[in-house]
Amino acid sequence: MNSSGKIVSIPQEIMFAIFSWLPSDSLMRSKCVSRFCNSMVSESDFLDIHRCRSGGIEFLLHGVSAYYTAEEKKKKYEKASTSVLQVDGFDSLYNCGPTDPAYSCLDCVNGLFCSWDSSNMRPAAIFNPSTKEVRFLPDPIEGKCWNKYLLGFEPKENKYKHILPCIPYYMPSVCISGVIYQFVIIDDLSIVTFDVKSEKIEIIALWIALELVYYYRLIEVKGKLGVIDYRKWVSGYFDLWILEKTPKREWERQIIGVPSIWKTREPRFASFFMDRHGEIVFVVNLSRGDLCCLCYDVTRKSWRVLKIKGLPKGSNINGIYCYVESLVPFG
Amino acid sequence: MSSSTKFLTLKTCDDKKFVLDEAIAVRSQTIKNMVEDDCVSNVIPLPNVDSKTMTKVIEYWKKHSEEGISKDMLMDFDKAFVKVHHSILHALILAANFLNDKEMLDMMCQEVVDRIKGKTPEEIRKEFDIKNDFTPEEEEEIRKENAWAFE
Repeated sequence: MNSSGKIVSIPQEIMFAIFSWLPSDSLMRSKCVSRFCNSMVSESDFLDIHRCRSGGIEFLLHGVSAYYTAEEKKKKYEKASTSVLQVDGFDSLYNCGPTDPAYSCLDCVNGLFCSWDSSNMRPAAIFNPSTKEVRFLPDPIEGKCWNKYLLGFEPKENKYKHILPCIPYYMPSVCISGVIYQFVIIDDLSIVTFDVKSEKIEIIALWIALELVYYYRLIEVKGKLGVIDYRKWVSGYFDLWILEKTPKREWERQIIGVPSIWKTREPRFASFFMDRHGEIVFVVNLSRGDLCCLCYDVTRKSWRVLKIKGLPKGSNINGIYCYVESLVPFG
Repeated sequence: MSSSTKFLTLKTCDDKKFVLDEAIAVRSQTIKNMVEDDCVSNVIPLPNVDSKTMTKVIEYWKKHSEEGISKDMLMDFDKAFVKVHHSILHALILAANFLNDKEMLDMMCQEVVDRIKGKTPEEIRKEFDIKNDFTPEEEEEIRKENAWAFE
């Protein structure tokens, strides 16, 4: 061992590899080991690799007076389809100021959640389920009806930004490569884009004039914006419209079949999202006990069932969200 | 691919020789590169690996090259294989790294991960023989920043 605390017995690149496999809490504890460990674990390159390594999928469950985090663990010798999730209680946010999940909304961007309550003027909060950090945003300006917060992430500068657009809308937005997308009604239903860095706004027309926004959801599909139309679920399919990145901004339609055994169970689409492995996760059963999700793999074009087990008895879940782990402390 | 079995001789740093089927030895990317580049004469020197460690490595290679071995059997073998004193584990990691056997390296690293998972900083220092070079104030500061991980 030399004076700078470097490990002589095991080369640094192997230390890097070993630490990159550690679960987040162990990893954060290991920062206290030595200066070398602290600086290694704080590097963004390291955190990127750690994020890829964790292999599983992280979920945030939003229940009445509690949040839970769950992780789908993929083990080397186990079949991925029979995944059991472990649930950890996460309620520090409620200790700071309870919100009713029926009225509050969540946006998830790059590992951070923004929670706000459209029913009252309580300040919105940003929280990170990986580190359980919570930060409240400044109080909304009195007399103005801000009821929608947007959380954006600028990947090039690695910065988050929250904005208060005056869009009276409660549906979750999507942030892709530093651009926030959000439904908006301007004569017809359209999509407004907001560039997080330049703060420029643009309006994108949909493929046809839509009326009821209730059946549509924005989703990120491999770096592109997608809109899911699930009105035909019981007929056995849903539509996925992808906004092509060409200057013409064309929409490409994909019709995705739903396995016939699930047709009758129209998902409660309080939650559905794209996880980081390219699966669209539909939450079909939000009742007590085990939660059931249907996952559609966009690349392999295959379905699988995911069960979230181990919730405390009597807990009621109003929403499930998928997030990527972010271990960067709030600035 | 030639059908006849070729043997390679490996020489560890303590001058012990191991004769090994080439098909097994090329699990090491380092040896494989040497074979492919035709720079194998008689004996392949392994200056960074001692004979005790090499015996374990070869045991692992042979088991993983057995024909018709089931996944379950390999899993049991791997589980037993990594249950060694941490000095041997570290020697195996260095050997796997030098020999460039990614599969083996990953498995050994995973074992270290399992061992230090859930441990305190002090226990991790012991495992890796790392000196605490923080002042108590600095350590306390980092602890505070990451309080959630110590709950």
